[in-house]
Amino acid sequence: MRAICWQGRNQVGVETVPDPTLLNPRDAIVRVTSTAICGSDLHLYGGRVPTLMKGDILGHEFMGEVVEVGRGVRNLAVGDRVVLPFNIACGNCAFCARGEFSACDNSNTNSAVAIAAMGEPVAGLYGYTHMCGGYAGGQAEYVRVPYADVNPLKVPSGLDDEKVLFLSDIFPTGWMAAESCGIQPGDTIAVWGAGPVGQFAIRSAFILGAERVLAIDCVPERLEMAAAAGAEIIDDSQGGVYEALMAATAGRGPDACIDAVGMEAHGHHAVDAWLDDAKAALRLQPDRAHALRQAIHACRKGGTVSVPGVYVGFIDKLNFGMAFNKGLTFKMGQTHTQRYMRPLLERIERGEIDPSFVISHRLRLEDGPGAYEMFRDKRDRCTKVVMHLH
Amino acid sequence: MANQAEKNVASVERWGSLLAGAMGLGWALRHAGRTMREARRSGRYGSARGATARAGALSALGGATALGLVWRGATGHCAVYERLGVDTHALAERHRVGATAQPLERAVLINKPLAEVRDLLRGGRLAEIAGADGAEPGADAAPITGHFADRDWSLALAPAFHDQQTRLSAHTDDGPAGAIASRALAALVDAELRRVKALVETGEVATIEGQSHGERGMLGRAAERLADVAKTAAARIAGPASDYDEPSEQEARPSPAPRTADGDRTPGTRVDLDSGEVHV
Repeated sequence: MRAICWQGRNQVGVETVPDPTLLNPRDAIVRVTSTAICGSDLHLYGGRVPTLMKGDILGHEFMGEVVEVGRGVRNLAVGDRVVLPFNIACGNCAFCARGEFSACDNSNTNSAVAIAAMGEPVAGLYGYTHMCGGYAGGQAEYVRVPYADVNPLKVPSGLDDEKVLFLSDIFPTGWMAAESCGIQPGDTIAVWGAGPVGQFAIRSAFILGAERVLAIDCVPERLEMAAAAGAEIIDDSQGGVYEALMAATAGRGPDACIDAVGMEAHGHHAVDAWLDDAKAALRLQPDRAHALRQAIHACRKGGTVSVPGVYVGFIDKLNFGMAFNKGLTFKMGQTHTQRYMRPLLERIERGEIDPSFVISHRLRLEDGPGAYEMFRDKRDRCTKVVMHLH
Repeated sequence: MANQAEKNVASVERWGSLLAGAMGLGWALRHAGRTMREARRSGRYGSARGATARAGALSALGGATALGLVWRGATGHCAVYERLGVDTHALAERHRVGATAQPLERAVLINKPLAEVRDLLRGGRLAEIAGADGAEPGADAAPITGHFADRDWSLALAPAFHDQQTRLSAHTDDGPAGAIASRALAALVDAELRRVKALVETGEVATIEGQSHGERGMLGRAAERLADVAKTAAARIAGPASDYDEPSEQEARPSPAPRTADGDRTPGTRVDLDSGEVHV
């Protein structure tokens, strides 16, 4: 089969690799019909996340048709159309039982490495480093799906791939980010990063009752997309984000702040961002946390900082004393995708939201390498790439 | 001379002190000799007298420090360490490979009630420790002995979290004394306990062995090879190499777990749930 493999820093290629096979009784094989490039794939693309190896198949946003099931899978059949959550859960451990699927105790095949890196083994992820299980990803013609009796969500045939594909990651991620804010009627929510996750966070915040959403980014087309959803926009390319947020909230600050940027924040006119850039360039620190620092700075006293953006390491000069003295609540982590897929599918079926609004480019798998470059550089008004197969 | 109980300087550090002290003494003696010659030449009066006195004091100070270092190296006792509460001798002893065996206990939580875990492990030695011989489910049970990594282990099941979960623990009084060896053994036992946990909870052990990937780079191939070597090395550090038997593929497959009792294709698992044997 053909698959997009990481070949080194800022380099991916479409390679011919062996077809996947069932390795455990609860496995299934899915023929991929649509797959997307996630913003967090760009962290891998740039070689910023440890334990990625040349030859690893990337991709964790995908869906397709079941072509083979293991003997332990009784609720799926060949021909079922499914969308897969990006994280892999066993469904049996104490964490899965609590709905904390991204903390699954059993799905990470490299728990020793994960424990060394993070103190606990987090759930395995598709195509996202060996620290997270080393599973082959979904930017491929076929994918092996572990614990296939637990993770896949069957989708009705009447819904196009593009409407349900993002149940795999960015829609639940944006939703959980907004839900973590504990939104009360009348609340104002600030969202750093108007990329795909940020866009879903903005829409989710409105659905959950936010009165105002303030979107912060420096890319014009993303700000336009945020404005189309009803958000008030702040262009941070000229700096002054804190002042703008204070002005917008009569000096109080947003009730909750969502950092949908994560580890690759581009600060403008900010010393901390320059220092982060220098340390990242010297490989001294992978995370550039300018957006997180701003969120802590701007959030109102007693407010919440919700972090769906990915961080992987240590952060220097984090204004934690500011967070402490303002009494902020932090909510963060990989999305418990399985918890949200079905209710969000129902919202899609009811026509409350059409997630395909975020797609800017529809390409083929063979176009993957160029698509990565385009997405990274935000060229051609690229907000989201979907690759259709078969 | 200080007795054994007063030692607070590690062996390597003692040798360093002896060496530094000897060099310091040599310097002090040479410096003192030169100072005495200068003093004879300069006479009893004049500005050179003060300089000579200062040089003599420096020699004396250097010599005293060097003697102190020699004493520190010879006796293994350091008064400064004593005042600061530092004891590198004890620290080194704890990390020394081949020192007195230390107890080691590792545990894992299984998300099933004890009675259910016991039923799942029925018929084997692990079942015995869970009270299959008549003890009430949930009661503390006498541990049984298992043998792996060249050591005798007590394996025990105990209720946890309001009897909703089960604590599976492995204890040995014969763990390696060195911190590195101890950590290596702990990692091996942890891995095995996690395998048991996965088998009992899910009926299989997550794996990526044999999955598809693109062309590996040189570093990737080296990393894969290194991982294999590290795995074997860890086993050897934790226990004598002769006792680390890589199981055959057939042996490696776990026994069918309840509820998905139709087998398992996971290589590398070394737990026989039916017999309760744990092979590392």
